[in-house]
Amino acid sequence: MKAFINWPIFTQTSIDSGSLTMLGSVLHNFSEPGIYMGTILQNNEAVSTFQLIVDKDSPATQVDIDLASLHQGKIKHSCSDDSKRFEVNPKGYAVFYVSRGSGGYSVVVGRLDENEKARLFFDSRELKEGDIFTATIIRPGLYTVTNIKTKSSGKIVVTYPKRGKVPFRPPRPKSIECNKDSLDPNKIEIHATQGQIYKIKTPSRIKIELIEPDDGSKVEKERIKKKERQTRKQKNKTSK
Amino acid sequence: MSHISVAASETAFKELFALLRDNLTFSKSDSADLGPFSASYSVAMHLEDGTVDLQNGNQIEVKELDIKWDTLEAGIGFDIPEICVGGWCIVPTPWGCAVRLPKICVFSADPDIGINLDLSGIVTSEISVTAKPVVQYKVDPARTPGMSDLDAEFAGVPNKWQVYIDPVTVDIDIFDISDIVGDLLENAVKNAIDNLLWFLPSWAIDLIWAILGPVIDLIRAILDLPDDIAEWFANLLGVSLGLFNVIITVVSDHFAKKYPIYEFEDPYPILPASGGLIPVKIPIKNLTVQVNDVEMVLQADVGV
Repeated sequence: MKAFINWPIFTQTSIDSGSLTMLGSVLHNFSEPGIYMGTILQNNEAVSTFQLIVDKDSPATQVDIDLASLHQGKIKHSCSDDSKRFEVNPKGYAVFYVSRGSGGYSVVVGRLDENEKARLFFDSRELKEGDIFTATIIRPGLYTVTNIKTKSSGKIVVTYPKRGKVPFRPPRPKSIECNKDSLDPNKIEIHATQGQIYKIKTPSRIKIELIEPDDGSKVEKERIKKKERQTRKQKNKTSK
Repeated sequence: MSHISVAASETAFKELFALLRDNLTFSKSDSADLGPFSASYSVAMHLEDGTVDLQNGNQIEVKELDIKWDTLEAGIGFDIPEICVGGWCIVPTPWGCAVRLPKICVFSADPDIGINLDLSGIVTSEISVTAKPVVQYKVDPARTPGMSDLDAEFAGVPNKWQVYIDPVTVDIDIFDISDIVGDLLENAVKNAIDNLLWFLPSWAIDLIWAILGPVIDLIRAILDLPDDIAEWFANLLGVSLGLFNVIITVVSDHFAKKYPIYEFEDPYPILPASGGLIPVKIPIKNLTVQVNDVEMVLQADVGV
């Protein structure tokens, strides 16, 4: 089968909780049962809508809402269409993510209250306490992470991948708390593809940006040197 | 008692056999879908060397005929595993994961790769045949019913007596493949995957290779390879792709049906045409052939 590559995975080096790409996703718990209307924005322009039913009888503890599929015409533009209707338990999470493309999405979700007045429940451009933002960095290098709302910041070092004797599997994701005054911890070292879970404790918009790429030249040189040393040792042993 | 008796010594028989052996050339390509992967071959071969031994009991033993592979290419096609990120647990509970991040994959589907290995220099194969001589009478299909023997001779389509060696057993000791095949396979797969990823920056290629792990382990997992890769290849070509049977059939048909070890015209020309006179020919009947440990003996009667 011919396979097409998801280019943006390799070309995007900044991740923004308010402008989601394939490398970031946002989770929100809709604790009040009801019927919600969601709007997907791309560069602050509405591009699609969906319906979210929060029902305490629903068995779903998680509902995955693919913003790219909803936007890119894979799903018909009709609210009666089942593919644009999602359901989740009030104790569960709605997971907003991007499966393909260049992304740049944000989501607003609201519903009519008892007085038929529209009320905004969630805006991914400003995450609230209890929300979760996840990020996956692919490109090795040094990154800054900033909470735009609180101006707190931190550093992320993404180490260069090493080819080992066993297939590389990223360790468990690192958790970072987004507090009023800081990101805790404010410096982390992770492997490429290892996840980060930002637990939101205060109004936040998290932005991660590459400041110094690591192209692995040092690693490569060390590897070559090590190999040469081993070869020399083996040759010496053989000649003795 | 037969009217004519002709014998060919074992040395002469060996000369005749050498001509027969050198006449065999064969080429074929085939492929098969073997579940988790597909395989193919493209072969061209001829025969060389071998020992011929005439034995009492009307038996010819040909041993250690070398199969020389002019071409022996094996192809393998398979999907490398999809490379995905994400999928990790965000909200763990004592009863398992309550919320898990969707996976995002590098490719839209399992990417397929195909490799071709040239095995012609690293495979040695032998074939041994036990056969008995048989006689056949050939009427050329191009000869029309109204033709006289003379007409047929002038038209180049005379009847013929033919002696074939009809294999009773064909024993193929094929695919003694050098262990180097493991390295060839590993390099071919590595190059194929590098070619698949050529457009990516080097850090991305390093990352994908780190995720895929060592090439040989990857190949073993995909193809379900045993420790002995050479034996696996021999089995793949010989049994799974049926090359054993194909070669046995080709060799058997060549010896038993296609090329006689000896043939002569019937009626047999005694004197050629000359001075306006037609050639002198005698009809041969009841041809039989026998071998013993020193010679091949042909006996026949003369007459209409």
